[in-house]
Amino acid sequence: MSFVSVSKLQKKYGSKTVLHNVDLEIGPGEIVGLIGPNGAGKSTLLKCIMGLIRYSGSLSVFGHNPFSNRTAMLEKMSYIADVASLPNWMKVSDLLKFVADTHPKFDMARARELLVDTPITESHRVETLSKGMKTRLHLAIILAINTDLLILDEPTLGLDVLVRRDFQDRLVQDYYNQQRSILITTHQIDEVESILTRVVFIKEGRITMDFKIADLKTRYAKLVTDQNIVFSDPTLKPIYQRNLPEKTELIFVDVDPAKLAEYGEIQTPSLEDLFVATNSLTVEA
Amino acid sequence: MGLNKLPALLRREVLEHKNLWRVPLVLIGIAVLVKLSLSIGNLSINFDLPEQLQLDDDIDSAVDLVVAKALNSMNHMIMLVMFVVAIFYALSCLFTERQDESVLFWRSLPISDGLTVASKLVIALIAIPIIIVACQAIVAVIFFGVDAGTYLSNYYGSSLSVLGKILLWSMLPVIAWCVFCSEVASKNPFLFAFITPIILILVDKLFLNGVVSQTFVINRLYGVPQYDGSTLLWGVLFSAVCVVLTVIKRGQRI
Repeated sequence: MSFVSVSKLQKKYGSKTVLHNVDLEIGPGEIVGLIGPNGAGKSTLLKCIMGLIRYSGSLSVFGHNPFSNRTAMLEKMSYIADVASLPNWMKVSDLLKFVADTHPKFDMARARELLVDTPITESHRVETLSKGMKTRLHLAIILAINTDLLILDEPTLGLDVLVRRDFQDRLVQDYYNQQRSILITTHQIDEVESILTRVVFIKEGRITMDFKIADLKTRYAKLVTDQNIVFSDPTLKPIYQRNLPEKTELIFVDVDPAKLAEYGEIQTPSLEDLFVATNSLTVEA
Repeated sequence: MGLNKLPALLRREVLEHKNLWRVPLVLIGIAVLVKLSLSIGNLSINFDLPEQLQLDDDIDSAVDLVVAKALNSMNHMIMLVMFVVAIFYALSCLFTERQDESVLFWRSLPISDGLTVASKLVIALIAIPIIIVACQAIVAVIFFGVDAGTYLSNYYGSSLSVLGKILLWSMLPVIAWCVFCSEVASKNPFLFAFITPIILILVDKLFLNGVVSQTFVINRLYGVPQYDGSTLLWGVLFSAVCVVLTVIKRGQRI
């Protein structure tokens, strides 16, 4: 069963098409990173899934239409659209009580447990907390909601590395399991790289790559060589080439590594390599 | 429809909009001050009556009547002030949550936009009138003590129907309009809410016969000439349109 099912999704703002026929399926047990440069359409795609904007095409989240059947959908899926969105005037205790009273899946004991190790106390007002602590509080609230899918839009934007690392560890330790999934967007891959199980690259409103981290080693290869090569074999076609002073880096997809071995050293490309490869302005496969 | 979530939403409004309970407390505080001044301060209702009149019962009741009249105007004042509170509340309720972006958080919880907007209307059109009536009762008790019952039954006898008429014919469309402005205004809901009817009146007076603005705006604020079904119906209809548009708009905001 898939949690999110997107097919032929289109979104236009006026005459500008932001999403072109996007297809995406998310099932249980995945941590999916939706990665693209600024303006690639990742936030728009997320807003469609969260039921915040209208769209054309087909989209269902736990079998619900996110726009017209939002309230029902939100009992199965939780999201953080913006970590700076907690109401500043509210006391932490009132905030927890409000969520407890309005969300049937919220577990108050769990939320308190998640806040125990933090400097946040229930008598604090949200506005007195630092940005990092607000994020921590928001995450604690969301993690205490027992839903199967968590969607995060640039959750660690503007936070220091300690908070960021802590945030990711919480996600993996306190939320993720084989029945649950996380969809997370970012334009900085290195922020989330270590926790992802699957990567979706999006560029100019189109999904350009969609693969499991486990397949990274088997499907993609990076050839590092100091020769200036001309490939005689037409199946050896790099999707990206980077000329450095002492060497050349070439990225290949679905190529037999044995064929490449004679030209130089073969490495597993990093996500950043692939990201640059798909978004590169100069070389196109 | 999730009506069981309504109490939590109402609680949120009371926590967020502190004027809803601060203003009534101030009003009661003023009443206490006046009462204290009467007993230990400068205010006095002991008229310097000639000796031969002091035992006259008619004079006594006339004095009581004057006190009651004074209290009536105080109670009218309470109503007026709380209506102003209601209008400002309605204008800010959906605007502030967009301003501080907390709307993103509120909408990430499984609460329908309809229920959220309904909670604002409940505060402005049900909770505030209840606060008005309760304040008036408390003020009467402050002044008359155990005898407040007699005054109140007289006062409510005439004022409750007036309150009801103002609520249904005037406050309902005004509040619905303000809630709508609170949701759609990009910068200043106050300006939006006041400028639009003023422009309507201006255009109407300058180019038409003034009937439209008289019926739609001025009468609603200064009292409709006849509290009949059709004026009520138009008000309800206008309010319904405002509320429906507000709910739709909140659902489409990014």
